[in-house]
Amino acid sequence: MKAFIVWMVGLATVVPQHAWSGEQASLLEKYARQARQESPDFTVFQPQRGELFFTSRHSGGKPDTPACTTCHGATPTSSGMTRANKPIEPMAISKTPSRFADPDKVEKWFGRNCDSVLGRPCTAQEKGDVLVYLLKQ
Amino acid sequence: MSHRRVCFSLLLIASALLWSDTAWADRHERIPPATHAPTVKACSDCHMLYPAEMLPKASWEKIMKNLDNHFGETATLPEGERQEITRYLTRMAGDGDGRAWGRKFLRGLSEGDAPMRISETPYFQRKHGKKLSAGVFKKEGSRSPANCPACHLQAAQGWYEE
Ligand code: HEC
Ligand code: HEC
Ligand code: HEC
Repeated sequence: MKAFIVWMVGLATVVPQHAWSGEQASLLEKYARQARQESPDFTVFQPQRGELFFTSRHSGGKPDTPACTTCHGATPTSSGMTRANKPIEPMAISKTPSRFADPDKVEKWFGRNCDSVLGRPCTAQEKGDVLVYLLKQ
Repeated sequence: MSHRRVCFSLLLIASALLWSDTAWADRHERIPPATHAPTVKACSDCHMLYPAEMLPKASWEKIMKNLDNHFGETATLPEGERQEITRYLTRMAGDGDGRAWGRKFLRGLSEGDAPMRISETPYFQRKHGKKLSAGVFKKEGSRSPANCPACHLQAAQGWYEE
């Protein structure tokens, strides 16, 4: 019981409170649990860190996709374009309310896109940071 | 008007209607877009969902075995999903149940040929020959022959005539 209370209090501080759907909230909870396992130093997801991660050029991935914004558009509220020239709807939840509602879809694309941009899987902290950033837009 | 004459004119009208109807169907063939949910979900995020009818079974098998390097992208799927989609695409292929629509796309291909692209088939190249050589694909903003909806604005609904 004590462990549970500690966990609940921990969660309340890790995941800032917003009116997100149940799916989005439980996805963030899952990433928070994983992030704590991956690094004992992890405290909370930070939208600023997510913004930096999402908009920076990285190395290690494919040369023609150095950043998330290569495909997703310069800002979260603008549309993007796939490598096959199909438009991608904005990532900002305010523009595309259906975003991040299907946990399998989110995991599928983090898997593909992190590999394209970084040449490695994203950490749980990176995923959580990006999500809280985009869910605030 | 004699009885014979009426009969004759009726026949004439009927055959004219019939003729224009087949001609119309010829020029306005529509390939009904796939509704197989797992395929729609897995294969229409990056580009329009290409109709299974436009390639032979052998092509779909090869494409679905190489999703880890799919035209430079990673399109890998969980094994169960991959198999289900492969079954659908090979069943509806141009040399399968999709024969009625697909036959012409397979013209010029030999038994066992497995082109990886619709845009590489002889039929496609013939229909787009002038455009390909003139480099119009770049100029018209489609960027690539694979970007069907850039020129065929109703491709996603199954229409491909100009
Ligand atoms: C090569 C192009 C490309 C790059 C680079 C890319 N993405 Fe994506 N991403 C896509 C496509 C295509 C989709 C699926 C289409 C859609 O959801 O509108 C997608 C979907 C997603 C989704 C799922 C959205 C949802 O609604 O569930 C997430 C999360 C995501 N991308 C994050 C990222 C992150 C983080 C990066 C940088 C590490 C990144 N993407 C880089 C093309 C890309
Ligand atoms: C991660 C993005 C992505 C996903 C998901 C994806 N594709 Fe593709 N596909 C591409 C790219 C990029 C091309 C090359 C486009 C070009 O040449 O302009 C392509 C091209 C193709 C072509 C050749 C088009 C032509 O005639 O030139 C076929 C066929 C195809 N894809 C089938 C599929 C099938 C089937 C699936 C689902 C299992 C799928 N794709 C899922 C990115 C994707
Ligand atoms: C750059 C523009 C462009 C792109 C991209 C393009 N097409 Fe076409 N397509 C045309 C034009 C123009 C014609 C008419 C050619 C003619 O009438 O001689 C045509 C004709 C066709 C026809 C024959 C229609 C008929 O009734 O005779 C088919 C089928 C077709 N395209 C399918 C496709 C498919 C499938 C793709 C994507 C893999 C594609 N096209 C991409 C411009 C394009």
